[in-house]
Amino acid sequence: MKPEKHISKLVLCVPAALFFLLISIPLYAASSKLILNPDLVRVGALYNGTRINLSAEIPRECDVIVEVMGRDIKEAVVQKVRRLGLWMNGGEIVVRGAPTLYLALSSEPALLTSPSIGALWGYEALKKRVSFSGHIKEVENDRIFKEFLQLKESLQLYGIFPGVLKVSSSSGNRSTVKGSFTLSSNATPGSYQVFLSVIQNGELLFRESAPLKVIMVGFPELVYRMAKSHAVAYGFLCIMIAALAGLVVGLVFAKSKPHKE
Amino acid sequence: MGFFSGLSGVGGGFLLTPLLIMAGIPPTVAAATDSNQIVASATSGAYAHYRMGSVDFKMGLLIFAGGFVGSTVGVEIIKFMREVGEVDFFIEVTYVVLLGILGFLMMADSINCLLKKKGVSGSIDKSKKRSFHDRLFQALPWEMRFNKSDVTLSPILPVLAGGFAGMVAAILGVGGGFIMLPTMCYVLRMPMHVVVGTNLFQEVLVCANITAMQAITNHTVDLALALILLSGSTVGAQFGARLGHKLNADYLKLVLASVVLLVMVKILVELTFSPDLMLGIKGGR
Repeated sequence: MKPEKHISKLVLCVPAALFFLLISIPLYAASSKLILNPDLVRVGALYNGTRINLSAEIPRECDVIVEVMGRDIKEAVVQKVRRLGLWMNGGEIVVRGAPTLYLALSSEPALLTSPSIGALWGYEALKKRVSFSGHIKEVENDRIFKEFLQLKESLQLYGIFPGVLKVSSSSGNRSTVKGSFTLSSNATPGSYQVFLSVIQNGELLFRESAPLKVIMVGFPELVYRMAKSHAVAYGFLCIMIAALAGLVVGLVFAKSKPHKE
Repeated sequence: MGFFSGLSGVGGGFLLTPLLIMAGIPPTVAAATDSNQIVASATSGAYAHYRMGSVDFKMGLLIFAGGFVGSTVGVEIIKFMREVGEVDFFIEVTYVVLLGILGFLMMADSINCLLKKKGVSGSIDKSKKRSFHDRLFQALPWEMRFNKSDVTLSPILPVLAGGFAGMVAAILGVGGGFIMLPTMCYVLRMPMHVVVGTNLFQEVLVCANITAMQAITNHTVDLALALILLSGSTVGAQFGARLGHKLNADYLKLVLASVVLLVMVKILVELTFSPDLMLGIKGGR
């Protein structure tokens, strides 16, 4: 092989390598590894919600929004109405497009509290995707949406937490974001997504997600599976356990009871 | 709750379910799960009475025959009300009515007993009641002899009483003792020493039926919650019963009546005043 050919190949490879290096730097800069701890939640007998820590590396001078979301479902709610002086359930409203879980956390409070910016995230963004039908007039949408949020917040399934994420300088031109959120015991087992949106100067730089799984384990899992799939067996198991427990306690206390002559 | 139940001598179901509702448990789950735990506490009590020979099995089975039908109807009512979306309201209103009646009766009874002991006469003319009962007993067909209870009556009465108590028990998640005990005493004229044991025996069967029906039809029995409740109620009832012998029963009844009325007022206030949440999940959680 002639040396000229080697030189020409080298001349071609070096710019190519430089080109890949150049495009990989911003790609690296515009990426973050979102880490959830734990990313698998086990719902056991004593489960009462859990705290989930998150961390990620982001480019410097950026803000972050984290959204924890469940799948969109169609669900029926009822309005409270007063009849004969008593509050009871009234007309049914069908809610579409609302996630089963929605938690939003931010590093900069204004991202979730200011309506103009917040329209991309938080409840303002959620409002765009949720629709109501049934016993509702068009003009009532805003009020019903507010009441729907109150209902979900009371169950700790929805929540907005402005400014709870902490951004600190890390090596080079990177920053580390850390925070945590509580996953309520009302969150049903299933798959959830945690979205991390990195924002620079009010513009979305990039968005990535990490899965969060909630599974039932142990006794609750067995009970849930039996109750749903083998309802008859479950019913008899409940009766047998209760009857045996009552009998055992009765026997124990009958033996320990002092005799009166 | 079991301790309080054992202390006062009345079943705790009618108080435990509203307390569970107040603690945030959905009314349908509270009622169904309470029925399950009553199986345990009633078994414990029925066994103790069986050992003492104070259970009329023949009468208990007849009451259960009515209770089986009544409780099945009650579970279907709950299912229907759930579909309509008014189950929580229905349970709460039924509680307000029943707790109100029960609380006032208990309070009046305990005050009456306390006054009697102090020498104030509370004369009750029973002659009219007796004659009405006698006529009723004679009018009904298929008279049967109940040796343990030492009564002869038509099986229609215990079946009807069991049916009504079973229906109320299924709707409210109670044992139905607060209906059956006075019915056995005053309507069926059973002697007091077999009333409690026989009631507990029929409660075991009726609540077992309700538990099975609720688990199959409505999927509202929470076994984990039931285990916590029954572990507390069965042991607590034994300690409560022992302490109850040492305390004045009339004062205890007065305290219980006050608690019942307080719970009733609390539910009534919640139904009357503007709720915090103007939306609810259809069919309950």
